[in-house]
Amino acid sequence: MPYSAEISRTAPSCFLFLIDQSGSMGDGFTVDAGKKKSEGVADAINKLLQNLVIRCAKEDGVRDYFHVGVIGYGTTVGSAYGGSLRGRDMVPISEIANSPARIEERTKKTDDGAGGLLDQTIRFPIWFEPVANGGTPMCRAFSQARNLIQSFVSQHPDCYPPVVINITDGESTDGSPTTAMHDLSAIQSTDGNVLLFNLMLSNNPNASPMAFPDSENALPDEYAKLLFEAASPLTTFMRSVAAEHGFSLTDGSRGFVLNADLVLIIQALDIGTRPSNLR
Amino acid sequence: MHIISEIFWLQKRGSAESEYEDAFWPARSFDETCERFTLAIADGATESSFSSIWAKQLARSYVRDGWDRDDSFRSSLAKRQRLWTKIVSRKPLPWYAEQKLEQGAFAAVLGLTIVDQSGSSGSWAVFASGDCCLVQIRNDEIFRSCPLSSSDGFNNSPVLLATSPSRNIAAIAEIVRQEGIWQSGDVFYLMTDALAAWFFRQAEQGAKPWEILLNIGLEESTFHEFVRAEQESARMRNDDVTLYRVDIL
Repeated sequence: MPYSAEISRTAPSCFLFLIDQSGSMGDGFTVDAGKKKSEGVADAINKLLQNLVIRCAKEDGVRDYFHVGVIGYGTTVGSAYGGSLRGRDMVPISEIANSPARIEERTKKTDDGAGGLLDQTIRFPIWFEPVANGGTPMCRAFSQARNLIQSFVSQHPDCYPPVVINITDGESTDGSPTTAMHDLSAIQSTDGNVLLFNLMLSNNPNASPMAFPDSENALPDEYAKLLFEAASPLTTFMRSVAAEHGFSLTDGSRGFVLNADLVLIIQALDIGTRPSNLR
Repeated sequence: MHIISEIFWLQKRGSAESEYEDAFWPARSFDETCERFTLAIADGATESSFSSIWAKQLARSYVRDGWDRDDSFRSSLAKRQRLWTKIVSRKPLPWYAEQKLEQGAFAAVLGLTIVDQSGSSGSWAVFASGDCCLVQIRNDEIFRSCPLSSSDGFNNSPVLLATSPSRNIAAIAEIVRQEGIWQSGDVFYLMTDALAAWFFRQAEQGAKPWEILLNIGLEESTFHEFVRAEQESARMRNDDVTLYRVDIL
């Protein structure tokens, strides 16, 4: 049965994030106008990396269940890690744990146990900074992604299939990404094909979000249809995580969201990256 | 009653022996006559840290503290939670280990107390939280099983006992306590989840998995070979495996 391989230190899997860093990512989210899209996405990716590290942490250190890459595309295309990981592509999760570019202190509200709220200081590691410059060279980003994923799968042919999550707010400026996306998701391990998510941020304050559709019928334009069509059907486990978030999906539901706000992006990231079957 | 108990265990494939996160107590096999025999196994959750320490705490405290009454269980649990926190807080930790620690550790536990009444029969009581299982074999058949009795009862997210009291509400509500009767010749199998799921699946297919486990014998390597063969053929999930077998002669 596909998508059932164990994820272990001897058979790790990988996540690759493709992050649109074009100029328009400097605009605000429609529902959270105080925060730029680039900042919201950076926070979401940093938080996701933090959660992944914690999930892989054991008393003796962080176990390399995953290798993780973050590719930014805007003025340039390449690794978006900062600090000592700058320039690195796929990085074992233990190295990510030990190499944040910096650790910020942030406050969060917690229950004080007496009906009130307390400000608690928490450490928030930063690996990835917000950038918003230039065009949207999506084809080049997918071409790089294909090389990285091909190399990973060659080294780990029986791995749980890599998950690639593309977060963008606009149309590709270096041609149609259809072929590059299909080339990527055609890569397979013995456990199944690469899983591709296309998460499209909102540019239109009046547009309502659409999450994980199972057909292109309700999509507003050809570009949305292109991204939907290239996205992978969600696995059974992903659909069960989606159900926890309140989504009622079908077998045909795909890893595609349109007009997404930050909450939907965070939900989609959780659905795409929640580990199962760790050993 | 004359008890012969034997313990078999193996860490998951690909892990070091030191990474075994199940636990059992007593830590040695027995061959003796007694009026009361108490034993437990536990299974620390892979996704939590310091869960092997928690699993050991639970298995030992069932045997040592006596969980036959609800109040004794609750005070024992609170004591063990404090002890776990003390043990894991001894040295400074990196940021991720510190944040992981806040989530606490989780483990399943199964305890069995066997009491002699006439020399050739008596009563037993089981305490179960999570998906470790007890099977009682009599006359070459499954006579009782607890808390699960079929392979489809297992999933990847059982409700487990936690080191954090605030995370234990559901687990405490779902604790299973059962009682039964034994007679000479009965055999009890206490199994952590991967082995228990395998056991029920075999039985559902018409096999007699208790015969396989009974024939494993005294050689630990035989148990290793059996488990690895079943894991490699995907008939058994790759996990830490623990078997406590108790024969009442």
